[in-house]
Amino acid sequence: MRDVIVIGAGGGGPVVAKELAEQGLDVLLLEGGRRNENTDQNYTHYEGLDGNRITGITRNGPSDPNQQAWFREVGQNAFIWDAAGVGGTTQAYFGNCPRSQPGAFVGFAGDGYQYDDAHLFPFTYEELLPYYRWVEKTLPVQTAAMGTKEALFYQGCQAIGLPLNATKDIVVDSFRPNENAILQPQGNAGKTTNSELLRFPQAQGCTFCGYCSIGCNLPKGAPRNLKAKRSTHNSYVPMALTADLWSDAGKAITLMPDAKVISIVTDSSSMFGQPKASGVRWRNTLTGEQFEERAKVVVLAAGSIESPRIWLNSNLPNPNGWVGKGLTDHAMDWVTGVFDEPVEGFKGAAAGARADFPGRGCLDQVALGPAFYAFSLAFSDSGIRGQYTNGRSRRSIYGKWDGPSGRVLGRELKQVMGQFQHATSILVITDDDVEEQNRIELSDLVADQQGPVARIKLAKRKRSKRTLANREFLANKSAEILRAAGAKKVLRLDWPGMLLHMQSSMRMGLSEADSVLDENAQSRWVEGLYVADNSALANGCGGSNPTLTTQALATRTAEKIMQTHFGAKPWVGTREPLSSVDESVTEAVLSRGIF
Amino acid sequence: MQKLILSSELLQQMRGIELTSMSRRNFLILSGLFGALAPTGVLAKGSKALPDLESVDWAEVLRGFSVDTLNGLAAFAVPGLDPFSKRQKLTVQGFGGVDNGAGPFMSVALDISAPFDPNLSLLLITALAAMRDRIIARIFKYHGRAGVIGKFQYQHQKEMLDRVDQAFFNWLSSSAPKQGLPLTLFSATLLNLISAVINPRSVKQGFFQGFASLSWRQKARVFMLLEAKPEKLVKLIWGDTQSPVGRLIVGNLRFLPGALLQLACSASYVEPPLLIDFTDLSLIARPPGWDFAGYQIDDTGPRLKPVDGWDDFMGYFEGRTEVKDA
Repeated sequence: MRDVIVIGAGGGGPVVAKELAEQGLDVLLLEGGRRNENTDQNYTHYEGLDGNRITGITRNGPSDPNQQAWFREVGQNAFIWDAAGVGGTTQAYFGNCPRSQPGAFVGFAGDGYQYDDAHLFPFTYEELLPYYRWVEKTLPVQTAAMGTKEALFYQGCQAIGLPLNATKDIVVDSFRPNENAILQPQGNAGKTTNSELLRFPQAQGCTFCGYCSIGCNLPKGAPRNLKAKRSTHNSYVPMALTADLWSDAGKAITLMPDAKVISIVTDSSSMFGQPKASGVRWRNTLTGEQFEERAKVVVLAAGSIESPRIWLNSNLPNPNGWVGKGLTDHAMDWVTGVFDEPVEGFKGAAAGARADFPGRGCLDQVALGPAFYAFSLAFSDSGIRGQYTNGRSRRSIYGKWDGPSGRVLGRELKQVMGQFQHATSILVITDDDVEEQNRIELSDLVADQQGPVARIKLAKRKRSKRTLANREFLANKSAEILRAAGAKKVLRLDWPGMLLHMQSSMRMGLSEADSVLDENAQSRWVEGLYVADNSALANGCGGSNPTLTTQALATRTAEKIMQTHFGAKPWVGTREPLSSVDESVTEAVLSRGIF
Repeated sequence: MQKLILSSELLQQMRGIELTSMSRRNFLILSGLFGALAPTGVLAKGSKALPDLESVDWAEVLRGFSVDTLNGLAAFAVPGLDPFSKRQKLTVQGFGGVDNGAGPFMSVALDISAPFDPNLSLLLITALAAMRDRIIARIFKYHGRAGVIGKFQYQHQKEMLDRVDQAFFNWLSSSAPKQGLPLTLFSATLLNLISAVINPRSVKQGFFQGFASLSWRQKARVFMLLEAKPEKLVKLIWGDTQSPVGRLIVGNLRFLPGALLQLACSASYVEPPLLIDFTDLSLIARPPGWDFAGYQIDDTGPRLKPVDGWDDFMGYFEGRTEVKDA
């Protein structure tokens, strides 16, 4: 019997696995997708190959590229951007690590802004701070460097009177360089395009390649734990696999890729009359064989879609009906500015600069390659510009941008794409409310070998008034910033559902009536079952990118597991964490042959 | 192989769909599937002989049918000077999506995005075939005066259609290898059916039929109809939104039109796999989409490839390399 089985090696699962492995527990980490090894050789930066969300190596699908991607029933115009495989979606994320907006937590003194007060985190922001600091040191999180596009964004922010935020916390409307889980450029990095000069150790950290959304294998020649972007594949997983080598009490985890979980196994012998999690059943996606292992504790971290699916397919209790409900997605939108001069919009970190608006959400300046960029310009809920508005009112499609919002297609798309080097874009990340109508449920039409597939429901146009108002505010603010920076043409897309940030579908909360998890991220109805991915978040973090908060929460959850089930004392705040780029970790990674 | 398991209710309902031979014939014509046989030569013009369908390679016919429709979509998204752009009466100087191989690229992407199940293709096509008589009558009324359908009134032509129908559905139900199924065929068939509703003249034989035969504005109207209110559209054309099959079509209609447009744009600027040398993952030539966008690649070495980095590091804003708690 294992001490702990963690389901899912994405943004949250490996954090729990590493923390518990460091404490000496026997941890099995299951991952449904592949483990990408030898990325110097096996990873490309082609958008049509590894960047392809349907066929590429970071797609949501099995290892075998000839097998179809995993199917979800999506009953609306939406794009789901999550990735399977070790590292999960952090393989393809931008590494943005802002802390949550403090107003998303209980006990917040108030700042005059409105938050989703009905669905706050069940503990204070101050309580999470030590865990933020712990993760920021472990990853590590660093202040983003500046390139041409970031300089332009800061210029626009200053021109509309936004102040600079030179801290890690969000206090007032402000702009700042992103706090990113990206090692910043050293040596030749960021200074040359000559690939021979960009090999480790002559180049260290971010080489400004601009391929964050495809996955980071740079600098070439760097040990796995010294690759620039700190996906858990590059940070927490290598630490967990070598915990016995760099921690006195540590025990290396067992990592099992291609293990697609079918169900969580429970016993009914709990002293509280509840079922108790006692193991996990999974299927090897390559061989089709099924396995089952027992464990004292099970941690569900399969993501905001798959976690509720696994719960429901396991027939676990759901007395208040909130399993899968309350999905937040930051109601994203996209605003593009086209300038007279080249702005190098596709170079550097995918999102190096941001602006935060308490109670509203935030803006990320984003770099994409041409295929993703063309996709982003064709993604709209407002029909095709100049042809039809898809039922959107005039008030909805006009604002501080040029013309109506809508898909840019045909002649106009060619014109805009022809100015690709002259364009930069802003991603609108809305502070959206938790609402029952937005949810994950099981399909009653189709299933795969793991059971009924997930059905995603998101009522895009029927979001709460506050969500819709926040989104409009941020879209207009984006247009103001771009215009002030000198954009000659500003386009607002009015994206439909872009499920890139997905949170709170298994939410923790103050009230038993509308949450699945208690304040320790333990299931309210199954003893010994915890959730440690974005789905555990109580809300959308006030519109902050969620990964850092999920990882801080997962660290806290690991502590709670050790305290509750293994009689250990908390460690965060009592000592300094070891960084994943520490020399001792590098030595351990190299000696264990992790590439 | 990953398998999709359709609910028993869905399968039961599919088996319960009763398609009259007339509705099956109509569907074959309106969807363009009958017309897609023209290049094979089995539908010799003016011949009263029944076609020899033994030799038909359905997989090949359907692949050509689907890619033609998807090329029509690629030209709509990113027009160039190719025949599909000319056909829609909107050409724009420079490369287009068709030149970048967007049609075949989309076909592969669509099919691998949906799990394979032999029943699914049959289900989706059968569901589409169950169009309401009222709609068909409307199209036929127009077509009686103007196009191909009006010609299918003689007994031998009906027999010809019946034979094609039987051969097609037999093949669809069989265990024969089916590349290009299910989502590509469903997408192409759906676009062509809606095209027939919008412009009955689009029902033709051979190339440039259905969606690919429409003008750019008409293509936009197809998407306007598809995007507007899927329930209303399904009720209008298929008459049923609440049954599992009706819900399956509504669900697809909510998702697919947007996905098709986005995919067409993305596929027009992506590196076509044909230009990649998979032995060392270098590029054989500069992708036209990259060229047009001015996207830069590393051409300093012996082989073309994406860069490993850029020289755009300007330092840190106000020289600040780290920040503290507030």
